[in-house]
Amino acid sequence: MKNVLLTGLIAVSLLSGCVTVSPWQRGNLAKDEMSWSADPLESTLDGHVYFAKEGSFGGGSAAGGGCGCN
Amino acid sequence: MSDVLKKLTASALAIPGMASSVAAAGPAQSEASYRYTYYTEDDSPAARDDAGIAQERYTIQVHQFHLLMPVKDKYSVTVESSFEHMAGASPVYTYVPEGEEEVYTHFAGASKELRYDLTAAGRVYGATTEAGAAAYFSIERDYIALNAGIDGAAQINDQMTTLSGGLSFGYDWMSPTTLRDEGSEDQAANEPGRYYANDESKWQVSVSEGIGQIINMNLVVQGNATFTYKKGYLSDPYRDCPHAESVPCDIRPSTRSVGTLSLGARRFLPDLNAAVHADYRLFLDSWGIASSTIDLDYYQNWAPNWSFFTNNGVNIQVVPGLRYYVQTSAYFYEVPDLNENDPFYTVDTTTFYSSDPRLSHYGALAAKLRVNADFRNFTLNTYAERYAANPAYGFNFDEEAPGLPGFWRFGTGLDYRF
Repeated sequence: MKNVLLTGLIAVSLLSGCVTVSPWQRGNLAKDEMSWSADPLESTLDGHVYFAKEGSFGGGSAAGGGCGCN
Repeated sequence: MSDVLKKLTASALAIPGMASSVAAAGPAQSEASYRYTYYTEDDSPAARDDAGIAQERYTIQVHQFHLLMPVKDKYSVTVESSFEHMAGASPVYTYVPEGEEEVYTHFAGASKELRYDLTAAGRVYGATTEAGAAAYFSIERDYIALNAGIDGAAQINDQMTTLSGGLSFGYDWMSPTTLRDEGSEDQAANEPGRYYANDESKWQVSVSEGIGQIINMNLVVQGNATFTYKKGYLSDPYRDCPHAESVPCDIRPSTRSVGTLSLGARRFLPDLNAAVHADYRLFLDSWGIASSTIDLDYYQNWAPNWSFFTNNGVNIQVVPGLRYYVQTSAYFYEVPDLNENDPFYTVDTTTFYSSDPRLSHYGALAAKLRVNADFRNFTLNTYAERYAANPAYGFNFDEEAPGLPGFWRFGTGLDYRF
């Protein structure tokens, strides 16, 4: 319980330390190269290839559909 | 794997607060994309092949299609499809042959396979919320997979913070013996894994929760946790041990629980007109596998001040990247040593075992380079990757796993916005 409280306090203090960035100040954040998945098709294929060749999978979102490759 | 919800959550975990007003934040224009990828694995080493030849491993050609269409202001529809053509030999057994001291690999004969998949997704956008649903279908000669999922996201804290969550469910059917001869003792003896796996199935349910946070004008971070539970036939029916008959050579638990924790950061560098991506994933499962994955990418924008480029609005982006992966072995991974027992496996199949190198303790390194060129409404993409896996890369200097792959991947494609 102490760990949960400590983690919560750290999270709150970190978030409260963030500078408020107004929407009109978010030009750089809105650039394509700042998105989490810059190329959706490449991300899809990356997941497919690494899932087929490694013992791990997923992360970042709920697991997707399978195939006979693993 | 086609991550049906990856596309959804990519937008759900999009940089929070991008909507500059209370208007809906759906996509402003349609986009159609095509990608062609050529994937080729290194030949296996002849010195570690039990047939004494360098096996020509998989070559795969992939065609991907993507269409994103806004519908009115608050909705969007995405359709994505891919077609794969695969040819080559694959490792089906790893063992130490009798009279040898080193690990050898046994390969199945070269085969040709096709796979098609289709994903359809819809999304609705509010002022500070969005939600989506998607369905996925994949079919091969011997395998059918279905998956469906929903997800949602909400922006809070002056749109500085995005909270997101998702849920998906999947069901897979397999028929690895397409010409099953029911009751055939020969087929059961020669292809026991495939014979007994015919018409088997498995299902999975997966949940995710995430948080994204703007730190300042040039930095955003996110964290995401997922839990996935699989149940059903999780063994590899194609694993085949040439020295034993009537015994499946790959018996894995029928359940698998998986947890992941992903952390990511995107940092824009105004002075360089560049961006840095850093991602980390921790993976833990009930099979004893623990893995870490680190991805680093650097996006350098470049707009040459040459008349052709300036007159036509051509912008170029060069993106080098590195990926490092390391995993521990599954608790039931073992390399049979026929100097100890021959046959190593008997009809007592009550214990779990697999010599699949993907379940071993190893590491992998990948180097990537992408070059993207924007030209009016088009973006031309090119891509190259070199991947190599080895126990030593995972700081495992005591074992060998000659079946681990090394591959090259090359891709090109075109995006069109309209």
